[in-house]
Amino acid sequence: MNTLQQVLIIARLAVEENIRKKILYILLFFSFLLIAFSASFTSFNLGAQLPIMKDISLSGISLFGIIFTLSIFLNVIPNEIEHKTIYPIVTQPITRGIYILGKYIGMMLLVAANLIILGAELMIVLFIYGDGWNWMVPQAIVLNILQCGILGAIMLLFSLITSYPLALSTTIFLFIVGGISSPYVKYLSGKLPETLINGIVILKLILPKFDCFNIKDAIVHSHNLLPGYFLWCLIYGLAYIAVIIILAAFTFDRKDL
Amino acid sequence: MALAIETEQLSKIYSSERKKIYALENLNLQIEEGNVFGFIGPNGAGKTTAIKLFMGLISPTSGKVSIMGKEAGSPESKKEVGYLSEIAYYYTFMEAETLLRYYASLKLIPRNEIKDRIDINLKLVGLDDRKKQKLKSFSKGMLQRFGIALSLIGNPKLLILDEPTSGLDPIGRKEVKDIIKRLKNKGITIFLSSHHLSEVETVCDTIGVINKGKMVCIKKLADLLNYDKKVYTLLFTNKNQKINSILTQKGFKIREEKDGFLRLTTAQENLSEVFKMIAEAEETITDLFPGYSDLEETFFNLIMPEKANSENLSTKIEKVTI
Ligand SMILES: Nc1ncnc2c1ncn2[C@@H]1O[C@H](COP(=O)(O)OP(=O)(O)OP(=O)(O)O)[C@@H](O)[C@H]1O
Ligand SMILES: [Mg+2]
Repeated sequence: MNTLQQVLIIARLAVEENIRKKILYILLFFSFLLIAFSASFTSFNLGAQLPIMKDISLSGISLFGIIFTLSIFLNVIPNEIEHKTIYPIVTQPITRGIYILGKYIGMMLLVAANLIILGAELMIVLFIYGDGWNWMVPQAIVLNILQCGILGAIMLLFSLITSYPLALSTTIFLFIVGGISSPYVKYLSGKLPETLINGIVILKLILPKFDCFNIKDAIVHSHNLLPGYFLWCLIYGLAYIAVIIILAAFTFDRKDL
Repeated sequence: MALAIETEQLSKIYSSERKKIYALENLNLQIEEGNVFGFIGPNGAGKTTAIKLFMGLISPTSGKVSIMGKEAGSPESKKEVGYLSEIAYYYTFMEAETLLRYYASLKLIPRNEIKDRIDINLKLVGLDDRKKQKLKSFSKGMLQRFGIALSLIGNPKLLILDEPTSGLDPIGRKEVKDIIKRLKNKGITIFLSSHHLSEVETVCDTIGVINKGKMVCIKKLADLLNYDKKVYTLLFTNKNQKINSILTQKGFKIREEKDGFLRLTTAQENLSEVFKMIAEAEETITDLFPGYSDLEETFFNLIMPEKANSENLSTKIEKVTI
């Protein structure tokens, strides 16, 4: 109970700390515009309009989430260590794990809030353009949040281990490899050296399957998801996040501040 | 009596760029509850390193440390400790009161008590009229006061203060000393570090001197003061500018006073020799009194005689004439 209270306080502090970052508003502003005017990217052919709007908007939302997540998770803890504003916090009766979890939750709340805003906008825009209330969009947003959650957790873990240019490039690399779908690996296998393909296949075994959080194609083509797919992704994503955050907490536990 | 701070062969080695820095070596400390301990040493001596180990901010390379009988750095130990860092490291975008409220909630202080505690402690450090002000508009001394208020917010049994008077003006320093005295009377254990003995001599029961990572000595203040009886300090003129080198050649340490007078502290048996030399140089003794003129001098002459001239301590002795 007390632990939970402390986690939430750290989370609130993290929100207060990061909500003042300009990059948040710049990204949000452009994504908002992108969705609002997604119709103008299409021809006047009404039949083709909706799929293209969905495609552009969902890609925009996904990209926004990724960039925003990376930018806030990139150096929030290294910064706090560097400026030692962490001192008055970790000398309170909390464990390092509470600190990590609180920070993570706080920053993810910001990510989630922004993605929800964009998702709501997209639903409204689609409604206006005659798609009705598209209930696949909220699911896409939740999966997007999960994807950002995994990405952020990985970024946070690496930012505790190494310098941030390396942490950032490793995270992006892992994200790209983790996002390659299995059919695509098969497709590549003729074109790239065999050792590289084997490396990718092995890496993909432990990396999160980022591609599964992307249901854009289903939405664009108005397909339904397989039954249980959403739930499976939810559990998978949360479990993955838990593992990485626990790793991060252990890494942080013995770190000299 | 129970021990507030206990260390056993506590060591911290920093390894950086193939070089090893022995920041703290085999520190053995036992500080009883209710004690006020002054931790004195020059820059880089290892004071902050020791304090960070007490707070669990860094892990020891070897050895053990327990705080209030609990493992250093554990939430249970930190619950009973108030800590003031060497430099103010707070979120400057927040108002003093808001930030204190966050820290107080992290300390799990009951919600209905938080407001009173904040008001009491901000008043104690003289910031009660600034509580709605953002920390970025605070001066260095105000931040230091804020830090003291923060360290007290949890009604700690043990206070660990890293240079609590640094950055404060003379009035502020006196106020901090008064606060420490008041807390001491309440029975709170206090561990404070400082460069200057004179900063802490009026409040501490026990004083430990650390230099280059090693504890040089630990003494009760009362024992220290007893040394005074065996020596005399004399002040004399320096009209002919000769006496200084004559005495220095004989191995005496002379201190130049601001108004041009010279000062010398020496054992009783040397007095007649010194008198003679001063008279021969046609200088006048203007003052003579038993003991050291200040505790600072007591320390660096009696506790560490062989080190009194070493470069690390030169900050202590402002002017040593060669
Ligand atoms: N993070 C670090 N990495 C490497 N060396 C360090 C680190 N922190 C401290 N040191 C070294 O450890 C030694 C002790 O430093 P410490 O900060 O404990 O001194 P101090 O007594 O608090 O000095 P001051 O009076 O200047 O505050 C110094 O030689 C310092 O250079
Ligand atoms: Mg220090």
